[in-house]
Amino acid sequence: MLRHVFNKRLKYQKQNVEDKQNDIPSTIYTDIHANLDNIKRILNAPSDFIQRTFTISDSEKKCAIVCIDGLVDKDMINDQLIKNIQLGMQTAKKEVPASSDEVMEKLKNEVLSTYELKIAHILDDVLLAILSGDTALFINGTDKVLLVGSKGWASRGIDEPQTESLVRGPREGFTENIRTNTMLVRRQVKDPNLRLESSKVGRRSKRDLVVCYVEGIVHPDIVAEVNRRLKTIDIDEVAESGTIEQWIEDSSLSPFPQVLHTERPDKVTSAILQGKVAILLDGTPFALIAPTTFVSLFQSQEDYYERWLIGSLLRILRYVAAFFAVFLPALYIALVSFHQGMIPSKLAFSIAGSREGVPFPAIIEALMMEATLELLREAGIRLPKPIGQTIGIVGGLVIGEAAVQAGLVSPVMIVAVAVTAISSFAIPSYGAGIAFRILRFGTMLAAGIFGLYGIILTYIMINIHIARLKSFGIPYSTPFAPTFYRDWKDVAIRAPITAISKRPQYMQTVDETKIGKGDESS
Amino acid sequence: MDKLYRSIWIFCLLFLVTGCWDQNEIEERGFVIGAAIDMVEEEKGDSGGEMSEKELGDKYKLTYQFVVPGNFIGGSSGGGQSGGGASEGKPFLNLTAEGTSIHQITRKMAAETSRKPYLEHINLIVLSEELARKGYLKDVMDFFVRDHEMRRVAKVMVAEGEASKVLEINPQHEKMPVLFIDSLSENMVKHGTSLPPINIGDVHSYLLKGNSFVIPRIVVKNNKGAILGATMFDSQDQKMIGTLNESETLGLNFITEKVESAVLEFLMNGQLVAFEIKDARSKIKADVFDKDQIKFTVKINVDGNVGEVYGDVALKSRSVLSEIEEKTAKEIERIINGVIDKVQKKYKADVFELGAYLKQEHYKTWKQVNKEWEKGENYFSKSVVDVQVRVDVRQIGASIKMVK
Repeated sequence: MLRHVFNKRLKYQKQNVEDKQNDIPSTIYTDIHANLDNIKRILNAPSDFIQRTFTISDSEKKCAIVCIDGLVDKDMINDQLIKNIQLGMQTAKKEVPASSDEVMEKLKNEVLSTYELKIAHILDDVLLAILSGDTALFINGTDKVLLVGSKGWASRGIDEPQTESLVRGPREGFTENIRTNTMLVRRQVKDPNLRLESSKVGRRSKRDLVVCYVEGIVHPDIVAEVNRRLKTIDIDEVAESGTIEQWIEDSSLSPFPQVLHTERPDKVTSAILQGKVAILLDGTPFALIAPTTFVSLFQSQEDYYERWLIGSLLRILRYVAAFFAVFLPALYIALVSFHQGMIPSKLAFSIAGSREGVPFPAIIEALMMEATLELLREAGIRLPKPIGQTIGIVGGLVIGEAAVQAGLVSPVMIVAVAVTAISSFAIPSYGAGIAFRILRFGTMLAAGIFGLYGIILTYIMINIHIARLKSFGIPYSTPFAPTFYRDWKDVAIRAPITAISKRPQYMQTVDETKIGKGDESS
Repeated sequence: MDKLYRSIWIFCLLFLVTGCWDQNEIEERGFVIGAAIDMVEEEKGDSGGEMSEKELGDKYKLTYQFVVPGNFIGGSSGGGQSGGGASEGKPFLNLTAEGTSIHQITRKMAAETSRKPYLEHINLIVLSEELARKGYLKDVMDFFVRDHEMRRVAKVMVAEGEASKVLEINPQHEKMPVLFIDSLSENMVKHGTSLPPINIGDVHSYLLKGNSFVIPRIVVKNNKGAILGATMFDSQDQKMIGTLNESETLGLNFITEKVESAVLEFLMNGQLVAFEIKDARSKIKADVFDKDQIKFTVKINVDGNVGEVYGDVALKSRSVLSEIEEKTAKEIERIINGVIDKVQKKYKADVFELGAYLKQEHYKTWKQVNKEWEKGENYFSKSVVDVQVRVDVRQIGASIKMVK
């Protein structure tokens, strides 16, 4: 059934790649007015459309600049572009050439003092440039267009990441601006082998997308595979990196994230230095990291910033938390409804006492409380921040207490649900937290029907699924299922920094050495 | 593909078919925490079973102690719950029923209470002395060993007199009589004069081995429980043959190396000295030269402290300490010899497990004496047990003497 759904999607992709839209005339006329009319017609003369026609210095050469207000840096256009074209030729004491092509060459090579200049021959490119915030310079008499980089729009500053805050570590987070983001990555890795491959994605949205990796570390096949999958994306809008994630992931039916997303530049740099590939998308602060393994869901950057003992302890704690998040309510149901003999005598009596008068079986009780919890979480996110916190308190304390008082649920259940909720928040990857939340309901149902037997069954099923899953050719369960003992230093325990001298073996990196032999002179 | 979908659907429906057949919510269980089994006088027998009357002449009276969970957790978060009607406020409820087999009585009891008896949390099984003397221990234990809803850790005891009285005592520090006796039996081990707790598993293995064995004996006095001594069962038909008092039990524990700690009192220069035993190890050796008179040598090494000294006994010199050691050793030897004498002469039951020692170490001899170890020739009674005790004083405490 799985393969069936997947094949269907592939077929669908192929069809869409074939039909292209071609209603835009791709020719550039030599007549400047024809060009301007053409562009206006295509864009339907929007209110933020700016065109200005003027003559170059003393000559009779007419030229025009076209840009979109708001996307461009106005000062830059005034000072560098118009001023230079109008006056620059004079100060340079140069004759204005007769041919328009030569004028353009001269402008490009000698007059204009902006650093981003490009000559375009195709109208599509011109339109894309204008809509991306560049300025197009048309000169009467030539069918070439000079594109001047003038991007400059209002954007959010660099902030602390909202979803992944750490006690210790850099406070910079990615922003919506891809240039800022690439800057953040580059500033941390000054390796000349750092590759930032740009492309556009989205048939209509045409977002900038940057594939980021370090050549000489990453296995070339992984980059090739990432690029291959990215090329298949043919969708009109890529709203967020989530769209890309869902398009390029291996199995869309798996609850586990096969591509990690992060707001932290340090997480991206550490990933690419491990031989992974990062994907940055313009317009979102969330970068993607691929491939991903199960154990990397439990790794927080902070593990490496703190000393190894506490790092290791926190790792182990997170694995325990994951177990609780998935199995604790299920265990409660199984023990209370089926295997009372497994509870220590006195605890069994007090649970029985506290459940006296509760009208529902444990499974209903647990489902009810878990559903309430999810409701609270969802409501808390939707509401404005100050109210959201109040909802948490009202929901958590008042509803819990009142539900016990009213005899709807037992106090032990409340404890179990609370521990589960806290546990699921303790997992550093939000995506993994979601996976565990989904699985929790499965285990609860299995426990409600089969008891412990059901829990064991679901446990085995989850394990089989993880063992079968792959992310960009890397098995999800590595370094356990394909066993790489060397990588176990950075799984449940985080060995001291000096002990992890090689990059992960499962990534099959080209350059394996992380820690050099040490320079005697230093 | 349609077929595949259909089969997946049908497979999913199978889950619904199973239902939750053994689901039973925790609050619907009648937790049985202790059981007491007595004999019923013949003439009272009700008209219930017509064929059982002649086959099994005697009937059992089974008392189960149920937990009333609502009262167990105390006054917290009560709400509007009305628990186990009859016993207001008490965290336990004793129910009694009569019948011919334990299983049948248990089923019968389900009809009397709203909650089905659930035996997985049973902690204590008390048998009446009458039942033990008549040799029904093995029959009664069968249910408790066999039933799947059973824990092997439940402690087994024999009560002096009626067993159901044990479940009615007034617990102190604990909420239920059974829990009280449970912790009592753990504590009594510290005293040395009581047998360490024996559980269902132990009894099962005794019955299978066919040795003589001992089970702790519980005596109810003034509504307060106390575990005192041991009850002996013989090897032939597992009938109770007699009891050992506290000091005899201590002697038995010395030989079987089950003394964790104990206190001995004796006089020295007319003053009382209490010696606290911290550790006792025993080593048995056998001289099997003459099978009609096997000679066992039991060497016991005791470590301990001077616990209490009255009067002007000064613990300054080595000679005083040696005297204490000597006197303690004498006292222990007296106790042990007393119990050996009683068991060998009167009961002829090898509760010291000397036979088991022979089987391990002198198998050839054991094969010869095996058949008539406790009967017939009675090699056990003919054997000589020589007890050698060595005592070491480890600490004398914080004072040399109290008065000048």
